[in-house]
Amino acid sequence: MGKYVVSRLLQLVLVFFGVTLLIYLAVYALPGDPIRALGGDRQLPESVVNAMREQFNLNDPVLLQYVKYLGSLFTGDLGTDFNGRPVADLMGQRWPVTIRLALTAWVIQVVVGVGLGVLTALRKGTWLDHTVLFFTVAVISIPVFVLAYTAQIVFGVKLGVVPVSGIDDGWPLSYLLPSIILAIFGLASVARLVRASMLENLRADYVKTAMAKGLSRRRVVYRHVLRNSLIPAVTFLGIDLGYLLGGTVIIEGVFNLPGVGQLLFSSIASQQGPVVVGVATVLVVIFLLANLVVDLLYGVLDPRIRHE
Amino acid sequence: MRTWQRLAALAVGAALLTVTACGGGSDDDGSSTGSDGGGEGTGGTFSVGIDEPDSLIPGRAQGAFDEMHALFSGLVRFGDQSEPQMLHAESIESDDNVVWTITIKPGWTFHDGTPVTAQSYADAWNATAYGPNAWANNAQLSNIVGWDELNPAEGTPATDTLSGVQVVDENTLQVTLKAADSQFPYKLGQPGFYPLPAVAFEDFDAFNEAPIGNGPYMMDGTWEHDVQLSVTRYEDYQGPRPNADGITFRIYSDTTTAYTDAIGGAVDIVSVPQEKYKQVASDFPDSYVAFNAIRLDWLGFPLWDPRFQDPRIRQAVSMAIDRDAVNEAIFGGLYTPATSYHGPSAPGGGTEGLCGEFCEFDPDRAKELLAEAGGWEGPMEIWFPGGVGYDQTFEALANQIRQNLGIEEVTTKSQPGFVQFLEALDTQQATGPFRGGWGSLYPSMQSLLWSVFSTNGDGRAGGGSYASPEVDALIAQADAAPSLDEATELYKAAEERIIQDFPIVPLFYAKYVYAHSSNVSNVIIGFDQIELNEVVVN
Repeated sequence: MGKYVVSRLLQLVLVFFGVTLLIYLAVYALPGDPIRALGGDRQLPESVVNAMREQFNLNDPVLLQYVKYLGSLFTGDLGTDFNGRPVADLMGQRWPVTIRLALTAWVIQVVVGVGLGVLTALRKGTWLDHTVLFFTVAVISIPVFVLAYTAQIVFGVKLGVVPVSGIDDGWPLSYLLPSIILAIFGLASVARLVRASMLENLRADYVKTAMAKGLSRRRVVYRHVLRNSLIPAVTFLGIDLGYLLGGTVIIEGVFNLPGVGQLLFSSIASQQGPVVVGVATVLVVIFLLANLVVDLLYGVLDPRIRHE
Repeated sequence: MRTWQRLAALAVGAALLTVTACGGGSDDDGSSTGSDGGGEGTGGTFSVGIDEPDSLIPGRAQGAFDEMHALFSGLVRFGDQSEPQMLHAESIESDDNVVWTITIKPGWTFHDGTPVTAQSYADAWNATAYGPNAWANNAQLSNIVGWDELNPAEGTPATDTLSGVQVVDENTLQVTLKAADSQFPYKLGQPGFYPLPAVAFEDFDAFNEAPIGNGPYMMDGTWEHDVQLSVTRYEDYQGPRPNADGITFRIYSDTTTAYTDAIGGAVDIVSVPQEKYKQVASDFPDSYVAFNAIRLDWLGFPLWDPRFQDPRIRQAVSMAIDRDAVNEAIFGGLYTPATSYHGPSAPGGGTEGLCGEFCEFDPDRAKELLAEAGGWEGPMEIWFPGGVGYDQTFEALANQIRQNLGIEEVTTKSQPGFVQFLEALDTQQATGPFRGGWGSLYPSMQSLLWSVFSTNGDGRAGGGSYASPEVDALIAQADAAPSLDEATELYKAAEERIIQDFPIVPLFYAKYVYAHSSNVSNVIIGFDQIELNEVVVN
């Protein structure tokens, strides 16, 4: 087990170099001169453009740029954006916002998603099952920004129960509505996965055995069936956490939450290599760690799975 | 996104009053009480929705005009006038438009109590003009003697001061220009000409987090990036006393969200995003203000492409566009269809019908012109930066050209973003009509005409890299004109000469639209954007 974790962590290091290089190359490969575009319709003087290109090593070949970037990375310097703000500051300020948002959404997915899954599996074929099915499908088919703007108008502007936007009211109030919107989309999948898997397990032989042994239905369902049914949902939720952390651009924009999604989007648009690489690398690392945790959880949930 | 917002901000900054106070605004226009006159401030605080500034150092910031005007005061301001009004300057004089003597009012101080002297201006200008600093407003000083030495094409400059800027005494500056410029006093309103206190030069990055300016408001705490920045009234300010005690600038990454927040009353004054123009009158019935920006939107042409050489092709495209219909459909009728190459908000601009029949909608005549020019073969591609607010407009223009000019294949060539779009213009890769626009930073025709249509202009890519020695000569004459009136006449002559060549299809004189909550009144939009000093908190 310990050995397994160490080898997975070592893989992380390799992936780190590969990913940073790939992202660096990708940003570099985008057409157009990002420094030139800073002036918009007004072209900046040649001297200013040159000074900035020099400052951001843009005159060097891409591999040398990458080596220089790694070099300063190991001295703890993540570089700056084009406005001179250190990338470390940018991330230090924005990651907590995104992590709060994503974790809140994720917890909602786990609690509500698994809950609905169990409920619909146990009440298969009833009006409750059909209603949940209908609403999850209906909500998933609405584009996220339509849902977000509508919820914002209804709950923020008309009813005034949550802030319209911003993070002034802190957690949880400011994060509540955006988290729910964000959670809704994964929630349906979780509920469906748990439901299908539960139904399958409820028919399994060990359930009959357990029942025959005289265990309470409650104990059978929650200790045995649910636990065995969670593996597909855990796989999904692990990947989904990564998705929630990286895919919140729209929600962050609509609700004016200064998180990394917005930062990543605008940095790609303005081709700010150091910012993109910094943010994306952290994303990849979180994603990989989440996957590692998922793999370890398999063993906990199902003793038949072992990591040697 | 950022770039687009920045451009919009630039253009907003370049906006002149001519408040067409739509919706009547019974509480707005009527009550001009409580303004200037050194009267008692009415107190209270209000909030303004902004986008994240790129910088708060005047020489460096490309947007952030409202924040800048709160924190800093320049030599001149415009307010609702199209001629420079003295703010910190006592006088700005020249006999030959080359050597300018600027005297400043004594007794002004920065927020740290140090005096604002001629040296404060000279130091700031030197820093802005120093190439290796790479500050975005560097070019605003490019006509001052010594700028070339600070901005060599290669290597580090040998000096770090502008030789053309002399500090005569504590309150007097003498500026020598490379070429005569009758519009120099106008240019002094740009942020590149603001002063900086001595403390700024110790550490620009630290200064940027909590700038110490000389404006009517001072920082309250530091700049909370992506969240807000707060300012409170500077009690020792020597200019017109502001009404409100303080302002909170709330930072939004999405203008639509700011707008929704304003409906909910969480922010007091916001710039209305274009997609809300059609509903602003119903969302803010008595509290929105639309004003003429010094901004022209146009369709440019790849003048390097042989297929677009004949001016009749360009005129045909112009006559095929129903500007009124596009205006109604996209801008809620708030814009003004253009009939010249410069909007009416600067002296000499907005000459009615200068464009003649070519800016009128006449599909039959358009087809005739096209036929006279030899017709059109193959597809016509319309270029614009995608995803930054232009998509709808340029789809509409493409449809108009397709239907009214009888060209079967008119396609839009949307670029991934501004970076790629500008690259296509710079490298002359664009193969068809493209999005063009210019927002002037001061209310003089010089800005647009020189930048876009002169051989050395910094915005000539947006005009299809048009060049004409005659136009260059006329603009140079206007720059050297002994009086502003004569200068204006010569700029108009230059405009007329350009329009004969018809390098661009003028579309609209743009407006900028602001909305405000019932928490504030007397919201006046002037050339310097929101007249923050005048806003009254109810």
